[in-house]
This record gives sequence, C-alpha cells and structure tokens, in this order.
Amino acid sequence: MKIETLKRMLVAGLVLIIILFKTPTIEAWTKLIQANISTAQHLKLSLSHIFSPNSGQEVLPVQVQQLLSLLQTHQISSYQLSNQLMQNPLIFQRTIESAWPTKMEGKSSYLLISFEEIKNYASCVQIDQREDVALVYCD
Amino acid sequence: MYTAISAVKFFLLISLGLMFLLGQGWLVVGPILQGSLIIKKRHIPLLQEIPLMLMSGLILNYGMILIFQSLTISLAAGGILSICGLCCWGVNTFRYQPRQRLTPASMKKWIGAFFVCSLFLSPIFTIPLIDWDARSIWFFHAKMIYTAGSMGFSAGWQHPSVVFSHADYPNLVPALAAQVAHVLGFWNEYIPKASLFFMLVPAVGWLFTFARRSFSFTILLFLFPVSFNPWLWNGYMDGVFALYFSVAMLLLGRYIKSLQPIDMVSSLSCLIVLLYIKNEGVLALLSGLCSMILVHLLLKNKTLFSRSGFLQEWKSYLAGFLGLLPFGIWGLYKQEWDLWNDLGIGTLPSLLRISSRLMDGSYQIIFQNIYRQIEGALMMLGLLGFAFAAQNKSIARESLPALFAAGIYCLGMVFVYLLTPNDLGWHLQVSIKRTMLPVIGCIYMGSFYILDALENILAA
Repeated sequence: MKIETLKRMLVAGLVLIIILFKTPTIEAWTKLIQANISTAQHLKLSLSHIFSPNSGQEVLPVQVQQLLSLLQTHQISSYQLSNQLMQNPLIFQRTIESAWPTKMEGKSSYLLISFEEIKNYASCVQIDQREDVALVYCD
Repeated sequence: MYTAISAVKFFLLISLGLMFLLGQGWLVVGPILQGSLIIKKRHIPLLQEIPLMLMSGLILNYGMILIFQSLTISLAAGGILSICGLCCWGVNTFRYQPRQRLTPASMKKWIGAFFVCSLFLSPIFTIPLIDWDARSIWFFHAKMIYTAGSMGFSAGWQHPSVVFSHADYPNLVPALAAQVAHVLGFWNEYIPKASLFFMLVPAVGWLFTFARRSFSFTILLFLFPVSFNPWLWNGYMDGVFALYFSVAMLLLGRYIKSLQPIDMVSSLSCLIVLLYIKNEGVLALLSGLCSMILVHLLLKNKTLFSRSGFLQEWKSYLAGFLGLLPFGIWGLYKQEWDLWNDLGIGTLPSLLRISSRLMDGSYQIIFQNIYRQIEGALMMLGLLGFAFAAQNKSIARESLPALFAAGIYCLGMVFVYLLTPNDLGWHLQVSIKRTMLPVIGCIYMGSFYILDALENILAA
C-alpha cells in the first residue's frame, strides 16, 4: 500500500475518532433521525398539532395550565400573581408569556394564588379554583 | 382527507414563504450581481444565487417590518415587492440559456440540499416550544408582535411584566414568526417555528455549493450543521447564530481562493444578518471584519479585497446601507422606548467588574469552561494542523478567516463573561454551551479547509 494512502487513512481514522468521542455529532444525528421516524409514524397527529390554534400548551407546567384555564374560563383581562407564585421564576415567566396578551397588572383586582395560600386571602372573594390554584377577587 | 389538506397547507406555507423572501431578495441581489433586474450579464450558479436572495429577502423583510411596524402593511408591501422581484428574476433566469442553470451535477447538489433541509422539518415543526429562552424571550417577543399586529410600541416592550424577556434583543426571527402566525390567523407552540426553517434554508444551500466527492466535504456535511442540534430547532437563537457566523467564514475562505465577488457579498450578508439575530451579532460582525483585515495584512495581497468589481459600484454601497438600516432603526426604537441591555457594556460598573474579576482570578474559571466546550474542535484542528505541517507546506490560506474570527470572537466572549452583572458561575453554567457554538463552528470551518488542502496534497 502506498505511503500516501496510509497517511490518508491514518488522518481520516483519527478525524473520525475525534468526531465520535469528542463531539456531540453522533448523538445529534441520532436525535434527528429519531425525530423523523417519530413524525413518519404519527404524521396525522403531527400535522393536526401544527395547524390547530393553541396546540402544544401541554408542555407548560401543570400549575400554569390551571392558571391559564382560570383566566380563559372567566375571560379575565388583567391579573396579579400572588407573592408565592411570583417567587417561582418558572411559574412566573410561563404564566406571563403563555397568558399574553392578558397581562399582569399591579392594579388588577383579580389575583391568581396557589391553593395553599387561600387562607391568606380570606378577605377576598374566591371565584374559582383548580387542583393547585385559585382565582380570587380582592377589592 | 384532513391529513391531505394539512399536508397541502404545509407545502404551501413553506413554498410561498420561501418565494416571498426570494422575490424581495432579488430586488437587492439582481442589481449587485447582474447590474440589472432582468438582463443577465454574468453566469452565476443558481445554488449560489438563491441562498443570497433568501438572505437578502430576510433582511429586507425585517427592515420593512421595522419601518411599517404593522404586520399587515409590511406583509402587503413585501408581497408586492416579492411579486415584482420574482417576475424580474424569472425573466433573468429563464430567458438566458435556461438549460445551463440546472446541469446534472448541480441537480445532485440541489437534491442534497433539499434532503438536508427536509431532515430538519420534523424537529422544527413537530416538537413544541419547550426550552426556557425560546419561550421566555424569542417566541414571547414573536407572540407580543403577533397579538399586537405590530412591531411598534403597542407590542408591549415597555410593560413592566416583560422585563425578564430582554426586550432590547434584536427581533428578526421573532418578527418572522409573528408574520407566519399572522398569515395563518392563529398562534400555537408549533407553527411560529417555521421561522427557524426559513432561517436554515440559505445556510444549507451555501453548504452545498461546496459539495464534491471528497472526504473533507463528507466530514463537513456530517459535522455541520447537525452538531449545532438541538439549538437549531429548539427555539434558541444560538444555533442559527453560530450557523451563519460559520457560513460567513466558510464563504470568506473560498473568496480568498476564488476571488469571486458573490462569495464576498454572501459572506458579508451572513455577517450582517447576525446583527438581527442576537446582540452578540455586533461582536461577530467585528470579528469577521477584523479577520478580513488580518488576512489582508498577512497575505500581503493588495488585490485581495479590491479585485472584486462590486467594491467600485455605488449599488453595492446602497445594498450595504439597506442591509444595515434595520440595525439603525431598531437602535432608534430602543432609545425611544428606553430599552437597555442588562450587561451595561462600556459603563463604569462593567469596567469595574472586569477589573475585579481579573484581579481575583475568576478569569481562570472562564477559560476552563470555554476549553471544556471547544476541546473536541481544537483537537481536530490540532491533528489536522500537525498532519499538514508534516507535509512541509505553508498553512492553507482559506482556513485563516475562520480561525482568526474564532479567536477574536472567543476573546470577545471572555470579556462579556468578565463584565457580567450576574453571578459568574451561574452565567457560565446556563450559557457557555450555547455561546461557544460560533467558536466551534468556525474551528470546524478552518479544519475543513485544512483537511481539504491535505486531501489534495496526498492525492497529488
């Protein structure tokens, strides 16, 4: 075998070893192929998700889905979040962006609270609740 | 039946979206490359022309949204321009030797580009927006623009509840996502991601302009753009950003060898679009320009950047002005609406933070974290550089822009981490994997050119 061919094979082999063990390429290709296979197996479902309004909200935390449900059921135009909910960055940010254009306003009388906080808002009127959260009206 | 209708709607969305961008892009690209919208003066391969048209269309479309602010008006105006552009391009393409535009060799490249683009359709369209920045920043901005029907103040940029979403960030992809939702008339966690696909197509097109039966191209195709996953489809901008920074350096490397104006123009368009993807685009553009200057000085070739005739034409400067106009407009809006970046680059507190972190040794943590991310790419570069040196040849010149740009950008990011107002450990933990992607991409581009040159030497 020519020395040049050996050199080419050596360089090619080492490049492939680095790609295999030192880059995320193989894992990335695997995920890409898996995504394509999954779509091919569930094509109808995938297409229906793509063209359905408001689809995909199941990715939100359960608490946020419940909060959204309260806002949508009672057609609330603006709301506040309780201190406890605001302290949780995930719940806070997911509520703000998923509820938009319904906005969090400091002056709103409608307050979204977690269920454990209900006793702290005894003076407010409880409008509705879900498993973990409640909507109260505080004058 | 529903599946068939949805499939048709999907096909129309992709094809009409691409044509919308192509038509607008030709109005900029035609005069620069051909000197005319309808008369063909130079033969330029379609696979080189179309990505540049798409990129120009993306930038022009973003400019229109910033100027008109209303999604309806910008879509209408863009549609009219697009139809005019497509008609002119059609005359230019099909009137003059149409059969030369699609040869069997170029058809294989087209098929390859189409195949790679279609691989990304699944993760882009079937995986909903889940990840943090995708939801809290980029596609939240898109939702704000969509619900207001406008890019203007009414989108809510100053609302106190959106401070976490970094309202000062550039909005090319969010605006495009809002347009898609506006055309379809609804929002969900899937369809706005079509904007990511429209961003991907030009890069894949440019990648396949390098296609040939070689080990080096096979490795390039294997590594790039797939190694940027999942950042290319999860809604973060880092993948798209790294993609175009790398493609810009790839095209610049070819320009050094080919001296074809279209490579330089394409490279510059990729660098300009970075300004509208992330704030780091300013650093990337400066890194790209500095690498051009360094290459010019190192190679001592006075004609390297003056050889291209387009530098003598006023249309090129007009196109450059149009390309940078959205940057200026967004800057004005940010001032008017009081939107500021939390890093505070250039302020006295930021300089004090740099000084403090240099003195207390925190910079070591930054370098350690950076090395961990780029280790694999550096290893490949080192191996290829050593193999090349063993052949007693001088360095592959085409690799220099990418390697210089990688180094300058990396240094720039070191400074960003030195001045961060956040806890350094936390900031590195949540971002270093993404922020080093442009550096890794450019190292891969440099490695590709070295491998390509090595292949040619060993085959000779």
